[in-house]
Amino acid sequence: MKRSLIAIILFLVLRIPSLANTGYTDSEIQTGTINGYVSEAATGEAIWGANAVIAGTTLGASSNSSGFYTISRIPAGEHIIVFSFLGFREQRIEVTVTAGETLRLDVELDESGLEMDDVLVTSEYYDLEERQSLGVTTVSTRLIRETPAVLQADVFRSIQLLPGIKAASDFSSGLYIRGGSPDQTLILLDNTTVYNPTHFFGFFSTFNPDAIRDVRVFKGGFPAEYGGRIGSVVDIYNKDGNRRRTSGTASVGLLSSRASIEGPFNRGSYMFAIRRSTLEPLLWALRGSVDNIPESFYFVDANGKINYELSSKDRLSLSFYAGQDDVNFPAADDLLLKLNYGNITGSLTWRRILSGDLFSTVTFTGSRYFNDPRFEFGGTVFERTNTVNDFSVKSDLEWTPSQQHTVKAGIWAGTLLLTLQDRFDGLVTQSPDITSEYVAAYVQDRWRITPQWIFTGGVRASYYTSGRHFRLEPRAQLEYRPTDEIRLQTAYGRYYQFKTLITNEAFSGFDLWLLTDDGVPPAWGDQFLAGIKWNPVREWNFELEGFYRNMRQLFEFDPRIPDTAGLDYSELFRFGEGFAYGVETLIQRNTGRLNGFIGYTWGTTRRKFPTFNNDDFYPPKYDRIHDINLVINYSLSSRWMATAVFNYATGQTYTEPLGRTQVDNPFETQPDNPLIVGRVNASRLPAYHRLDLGFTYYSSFFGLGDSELQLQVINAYSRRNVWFYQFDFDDNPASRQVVRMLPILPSITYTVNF
Amino acid sequence: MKSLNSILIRTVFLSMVVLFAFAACDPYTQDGFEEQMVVEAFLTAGDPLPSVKLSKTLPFDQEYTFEAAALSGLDVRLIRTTNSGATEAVLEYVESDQRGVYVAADESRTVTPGLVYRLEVREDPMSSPVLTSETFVPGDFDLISTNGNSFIYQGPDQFEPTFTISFYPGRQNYYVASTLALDPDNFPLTPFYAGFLDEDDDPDQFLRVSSGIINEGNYEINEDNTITIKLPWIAIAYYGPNEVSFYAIDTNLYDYIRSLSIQLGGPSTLSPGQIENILWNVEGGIGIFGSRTGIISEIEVVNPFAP
Repeated sequence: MKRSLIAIILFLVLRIPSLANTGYTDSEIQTGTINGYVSEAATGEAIWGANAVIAGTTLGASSNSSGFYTISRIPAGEHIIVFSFLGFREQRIEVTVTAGETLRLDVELDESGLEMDDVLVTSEYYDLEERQSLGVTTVSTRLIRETPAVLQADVFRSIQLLPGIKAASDFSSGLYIRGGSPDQTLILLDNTTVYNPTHFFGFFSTFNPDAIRDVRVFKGGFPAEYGGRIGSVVDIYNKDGNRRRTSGTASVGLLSSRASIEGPFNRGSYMFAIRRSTLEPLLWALRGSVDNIPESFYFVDANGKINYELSSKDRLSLSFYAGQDDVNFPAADDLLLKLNYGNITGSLTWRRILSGDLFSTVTFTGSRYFNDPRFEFGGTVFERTNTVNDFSVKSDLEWTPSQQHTVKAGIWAGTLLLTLQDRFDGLVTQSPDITSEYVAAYVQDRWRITPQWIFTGGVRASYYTSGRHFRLEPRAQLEYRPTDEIRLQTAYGRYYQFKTLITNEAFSGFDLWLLTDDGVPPAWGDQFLAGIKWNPVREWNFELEGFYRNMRQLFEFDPRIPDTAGLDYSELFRFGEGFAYGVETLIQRNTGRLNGFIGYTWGTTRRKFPTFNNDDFYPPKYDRIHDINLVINYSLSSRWMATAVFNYATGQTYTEPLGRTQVDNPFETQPDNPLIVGRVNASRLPAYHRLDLGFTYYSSFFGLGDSELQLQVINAYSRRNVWFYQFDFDDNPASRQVVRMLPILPSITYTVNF
Repeated sequence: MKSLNSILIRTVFLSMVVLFAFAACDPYTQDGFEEQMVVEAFLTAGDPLPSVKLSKTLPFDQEYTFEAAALSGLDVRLIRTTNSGATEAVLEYVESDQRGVYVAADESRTVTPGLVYRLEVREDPMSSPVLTSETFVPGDFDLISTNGNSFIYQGPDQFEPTFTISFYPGRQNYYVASTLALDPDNFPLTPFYAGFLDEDDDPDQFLRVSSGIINEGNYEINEDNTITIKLPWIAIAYYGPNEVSFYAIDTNLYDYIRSLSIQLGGPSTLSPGQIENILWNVEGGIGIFGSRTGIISEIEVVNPFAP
């Protein structure tokens, strides 16, 4: 099987160009092609989503994730090609197109300056063109760095500000997108799956803002090139490295410190970034006066990337990430908790311009997630070894045979090994090794029927050997542009998911992935989307998007199973279903001294599992009917920037106990006090709202480089939002305690860019 | 274009109005307290028939006492049947001096392993049962041997009894290990449990410690079709003499213990604030009508730090 897959990949890479170059018509002979890379002038970083348009025509293209664009079937002759991307100065280049030939044109765009006199400050928060696609948003690294955040800038916490994306609590960076749980979102870093993208037990994500170049969020309706999840995709790319000069960053904050360096070398560039928590001084200071301070409590991660230009048509990039969290915590006398978990990912990508209208990418990926908890209590030891190893090869082709069609096709094959071993009191209590080979292939075509009507259709086929499950996933999107300012869009897709995650919203340190198998079919769901996008003037952008999605055959680890030994694999799960629907609105001001956005989501989601809640649907905790996010950015002067973020959301759900009884349990000294609950999660906590303020001062660090001093106040009016209620069953009558989230929290970060 | 834009503005505005109007309705609302009958009875193989306690649930915010919740004047009977469902005996119960507590009329009767007991509660002897539950008493569970009766705490040797494999139809066996301190007045707590005890805490809370549910699948079956289990040190709360019990439990107890553990906040995947209901296995009410078969030994746990 593997030899066949390799053969198929080689065929796609080597043979398609010859197939594409047959049968030119007379009209095609009179046209030519322009292609090349679009990058930032200051750094050489590729720009994803830049527009290249032949002035005065409807011919154009958008650069892909590698920064590559191609415009074919351009009539021979003199033309002006216009390159644009939000946050960069438009560039107009005169070109001469020769019939039957391909003109290679690599372009570098300059960032637009902060022209305070004209008060023309362009917001880089969202790329205007790319956001025009249904359900997709590009998040700029500027938003990530400048948005007030708890203790340090974080990629996922910035993503949580988008309409349709919710946070579980102040302590969690988990993404709850359009009613889905975090495991329904595929997280990719340089084309490699990341299985536990969290640090500090879920408080932060593993993505270092200094190392990131692009963050693209598909909230739903993602195209056929992505698969393996029924909800959404977060596609992240590391920086390639500054191709112009050596530069770097050093940042010191309350929780962690970061450093990065990037620069060019002969025919290439490199980037390296490292980040480590800096809690040791605080822990040392507390150890003298407070009991049970962890002996060790830190996280560290490193990102790196090397890019090399083999030829004008071939580029190689090698990317890696390594990170871990380590805790060594004597919680009480004779009670020791140790936890070590993290991820290692790597990818080797070969990008090749096969012909004027054909671009290929081949990527070899490896991803390892490890999680090794150890508990020693009362002389009894519980240990676990939990690893996920995922090795794969991907090949993608992008072919633009005409202005009407952009065809993408690809194949992704790999092997997945999940290892889990539990040892209790020296005995191995379980040791299942789950291995699965998988392969997925897709093809999709973006068909520009007329300048107003665009149809994108595709299909993805997936197969996992664990359980021998084969599934087809059709996708379709239709767009109508009655005017240049208005886009009406609708989409449908079928999605399958072959993995499920055992996790806890409050603590992600023990995350465990499980696979489909015999008797455990993949979960699946359909998504229906419709939306309107309107740009009446350049400064303003309006969006209205509705969605409905169902979830079938949700398989999750049955929380009521106390011990898995001796049970068949399929007996470990409970199977349920769910649905979610909602409407999202976004109003954004892109330019001006005052810019930002306000997003509102109205939505609801439900789940149902047998023997739970009388087999009836119930809302999970993260069901929040209303969710409003306001992000405002104001340039006080050339040196001062102020940012405010306000969030309001309906209170999360919780289960209200209605009655109680008492049972003299023969296995216990004291009686049990079981609760009688009614409908699960039918009550709501008080509404959540919080205001974060941030001020950034731009200056110079002794003339060696630029500096940024960020002063932030999280929860400026110290709203003590409720996280959950904790009921004390042993009190009589029972009592309820309120567990609250963060109080007002100041934060300071100093960053030097050299 | 101007008219299209204005049409669009109106469409978006109207959509928002409809949306807000619709959003005010949440059809999933909180229900209220409903009183339910509660049964509590535990059958132990070889022991006399247990008492059956009948009560009602009380509102969550009300102080609970059994006396306030007890249900009196009910007709209670146990029907003992074979695996095939044939009735072997009908065991009558009478209300004791304590309101809500019903005892077997024939106190000489004992619980027989390997048989099914069905509980029926009626409001009067001639009416249909208002509450029923059924249990299969695990059978064939006998202690064969042990590896000693004195062990140094956290020393190289742990208590390892060997016993026959219990019989339960249709599934592997589930066990619960339990220790009972026999002389807590003269022997201290082990360090692990002593660390949990504050000045205001009741030290008796650790007199009996249980392991939680242990699947038979954790252990290899010996060549002679027996099982040897190692008692973990975490199960020992007090030094000195301890009564060590291993019980094979029925499905009602299995469901009750595992669902109660989740409800009380044991390790789980549930979000904070989400409370699961208990798996009761009672028709017409709630509670626990469960059975177990056990083996009991007595061991001495030696304090390695004692002078």
